[in-house]
Amino acid sequence: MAVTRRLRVDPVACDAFGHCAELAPELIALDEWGYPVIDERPIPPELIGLAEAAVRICPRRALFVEETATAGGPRRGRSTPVRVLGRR
Amino acid sequence: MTTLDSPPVTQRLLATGGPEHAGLANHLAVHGTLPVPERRDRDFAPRLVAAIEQSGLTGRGGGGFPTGKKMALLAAQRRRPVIAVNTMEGEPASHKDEVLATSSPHLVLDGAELVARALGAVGIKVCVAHDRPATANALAFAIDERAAAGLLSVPTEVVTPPGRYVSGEESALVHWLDGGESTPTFRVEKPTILRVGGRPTLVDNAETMANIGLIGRYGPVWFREVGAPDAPGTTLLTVSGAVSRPGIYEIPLGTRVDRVLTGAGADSGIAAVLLGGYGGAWLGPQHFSSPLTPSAMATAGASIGAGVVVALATSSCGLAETARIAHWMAGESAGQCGPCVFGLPAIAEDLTLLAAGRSSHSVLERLCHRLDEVEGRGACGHPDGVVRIVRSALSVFADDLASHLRSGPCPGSRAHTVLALPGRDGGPWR
Amino acid sequence: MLAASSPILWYTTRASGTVALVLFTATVVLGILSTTRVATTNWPRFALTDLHRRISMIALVFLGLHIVTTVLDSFVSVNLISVVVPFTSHYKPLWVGLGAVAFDLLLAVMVTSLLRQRISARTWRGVHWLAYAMWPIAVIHSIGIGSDFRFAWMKLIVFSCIGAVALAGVWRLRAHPYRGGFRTAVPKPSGIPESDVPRPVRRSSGDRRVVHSTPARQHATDLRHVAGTSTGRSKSR
Repeated sequence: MAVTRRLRVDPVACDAFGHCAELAPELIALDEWGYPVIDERPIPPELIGLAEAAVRICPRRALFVEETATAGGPRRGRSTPVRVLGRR
Repeated sequence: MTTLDSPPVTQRLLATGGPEHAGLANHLAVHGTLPVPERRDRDFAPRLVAAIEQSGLTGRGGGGFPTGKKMALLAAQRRRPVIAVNTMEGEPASHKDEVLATSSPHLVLDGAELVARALGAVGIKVCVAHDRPATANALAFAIDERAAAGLLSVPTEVVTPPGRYVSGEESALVHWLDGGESTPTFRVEKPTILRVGGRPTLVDNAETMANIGLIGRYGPVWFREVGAPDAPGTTLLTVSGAVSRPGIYEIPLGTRVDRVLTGAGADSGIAAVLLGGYGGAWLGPQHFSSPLTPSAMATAGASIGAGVVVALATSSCGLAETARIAHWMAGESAGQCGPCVFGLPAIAEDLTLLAAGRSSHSVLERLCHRLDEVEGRGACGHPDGVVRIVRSALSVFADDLASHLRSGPCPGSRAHTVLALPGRDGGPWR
Repeated sequence: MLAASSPILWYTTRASGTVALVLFTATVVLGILSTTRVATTNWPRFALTDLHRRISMIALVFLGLHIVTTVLDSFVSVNLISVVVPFTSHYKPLWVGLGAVAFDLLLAVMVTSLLRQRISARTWRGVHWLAYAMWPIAVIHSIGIGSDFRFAWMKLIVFSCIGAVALAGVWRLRAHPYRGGFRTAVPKPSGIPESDVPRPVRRSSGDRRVVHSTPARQHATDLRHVAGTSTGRSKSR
C-alpha cells in the first residue's frame, strides 16, 4: 500500500502571510497577489520535514499535509484518504 | 413557459400547466396521488434509491451528479438527515426553477417527500433566495395545501437565504442552514457529507426533486422512455438572448442545440450560445448540431449546467459579453479566497482590455497565465467557472480576438448586452 | 512549603519580572509585526513568527521564575492561590492581583497555542486576542507594584516597552488599515490605480458580523468608457 503525501492549503483560512513560501520555496510559490501556489505532486521524502515545518509555521493553520493511500497499485486508481496531518 | 413542436409526452415537469393550475387538486388530477410507503416499510429506501439509480437521473442544478448515488451516500449515514431543496437559482440567466416552483410546486414537494420518507429525514427545508418572493410564496402556499390535506410526513418549511450567486452552492447553502453565512466552505475531499446541526444533509435542486416525484410514480423505465440512453429524461432550459420566444422550455435530453434555438425563434444569425450558466461555456456554431447530453457537450467543451441557453447574435461581441460576465462574477465572489478575490477582477480587467481593443499580446499572455493560476485554487467552483467561460470565449471567439488585437474594438462591443447582470451591491451574506 | 526570606529571592523576583516584561513586550511587538507582512532579507516573515513563538516561551520561563520566587519569599506573603486567583494576596492585593489576572490571561493564550492543532482556528484566534489585554495589565502590574518603578532605569525600561508596542500598533494601523474585518496586506497588481484594488473580505469562521460593504459599483455594460483602467468592477470591498 503506497502512501502519497500532498501539501494542500485551505484557501478560506489562508491570509497570504507568505511564511510557507519563504520556508519551503521548493514546494510553494506565491502568485502575484501573495497567495500560495502549491506543487500538487506528492511530496518527495527528503522534503517531508520541510513541508511539516511549513505547516507548523502558518499563522492561520491553513496549510496541511494530506495523506492518501492508493490501494492495489495503479490499476485501481481510486485513492481513499487515510489520514490528514496538521488539520483538526 | 412554452413547448417545442414535440409530442406531449415531454411535458412532464410542466404537465399541470401554468401557475394558475398549480393547486393541489389539479396536481392530483393530472398526476394522481403520490404512492407513499407504509410507515414500517423498510424496503422503501433501497427500492427508491435503486429506482433513482436505475433511472439515470442526474442533478439538474448544474452539477450533474448522479442523484441515486448521492441518495445512497446519505442513506448509508447513521443519523437521520435533513433534506434541502435547492430552489436558489442564483444564475441570473436561469428562471427554470422559478417557473417550476410556481407552476408545479407539488411535484417538487412530492420528490422531497419521497426522499424524506426513504431516508427517515427529520425535516425538509425548501430554500428559496430572499429576493424571489413569488417563488417562496408559491411553495409556501403549496406546503400549506399539503399540510391541510395531511400529506406532510415531516416538518416542511420554506426558508430564504440571501440571493447571492454563490449562496446556492451546496456548501454555502448548508453553511447558512447551519446558522452561518451563505458562503461556501472548504471541503478537504469531495464528496463530503455536509451537515446541518450535526445531521447529514441532502441537497438536491428543485428540478431534480420534481423528477424524483415523477419517478416515484411512474418508475425508472418510464423515465428512460424519453431522452438519450446516456442522458435520460427531460430537462428545463431557460432560453434567452437573440431569440424571439425567450422562456422556459422542457426538452428531452439529447435534443440538438439548433433545434432548441429554432424552437425558441432564433434567426440564422447566431454567433454562439452561452450554455450552462455564467460559469459555463460558449458553444460555437460548429457544435450547434450536437445533442444536449453531458457527453456530447463535454466533447464540445461545454456542459448543460443549469440549463441556461443564451443566444448571441452575430451583431454582438462575444468577448465584450464575456467581459461583462467576468466583471459581474468577480463581484459575486464570497471574498474568502485570495485567488478568487484578486484573480477574478484581474481576469475581468484583462478581458475588458482585450474586448475593447486596447491591448496587446502581453495582455493576452497575462490573461492566460492568470487563468491557469486561478483555476482550482478557490474553496468552491466559482473561480473555476469564470476560468471556464473566459477560456471558452478565447477559443470560440478566437477570430474576434485576433481582429481586436490587430485593429481595435468591433461594433458589436457597443451593442446592447443580452445578459442579465443584476446589481447585488452590498447584499448581505446572512 | 519552603519559605525563606532572602535578598536573593527578592531581587530574583524583581529582576525576572522585569525581564519577563521586556520579553513579553518583544513577543507582542513581533506578533503585531507579523500581521503587517513585514520582512527583511535576513529576517523573512516566517523567522519573525518563529521568533515570536520562541521568545514567548523564554518569557514564560522568566515569568515562572518570577512567580516561584515570589511565592517562596516570606518577605511578601503571596501564596500559590493568589497567583491564579486575583486580588487574594495579603501583600499589595491590587497590584499582585493584576499580575494574577495577566497570568491567567497568559495561561489561556499559551495553552491554546500549544494545543493549536486540536482546537478550532476561531477559538484559537479569539483567545489569542486576549494577549492584547494581558500585556497592558502586566505593564500596570509592574508599575503599580512599585518595587523598582521609583528608579529611573526601571521607568526607562517600562516606557520603552510601552513605546515599542505603541509604535508597532500605530504603524500597523496606519500602514495596514483594519476596517472591521478588512485586511489589506496584499500588494496591488501593477498598472491598476490604488483605488481600484479590491480588498479581500476577511471573514474568519468566528466573525458573524456582516463586515463587507461594496460602494456603488458601476456596471460594466458600456465598454465605450474603457479608459485603459478598470471599468465598473467592484472597488474596495
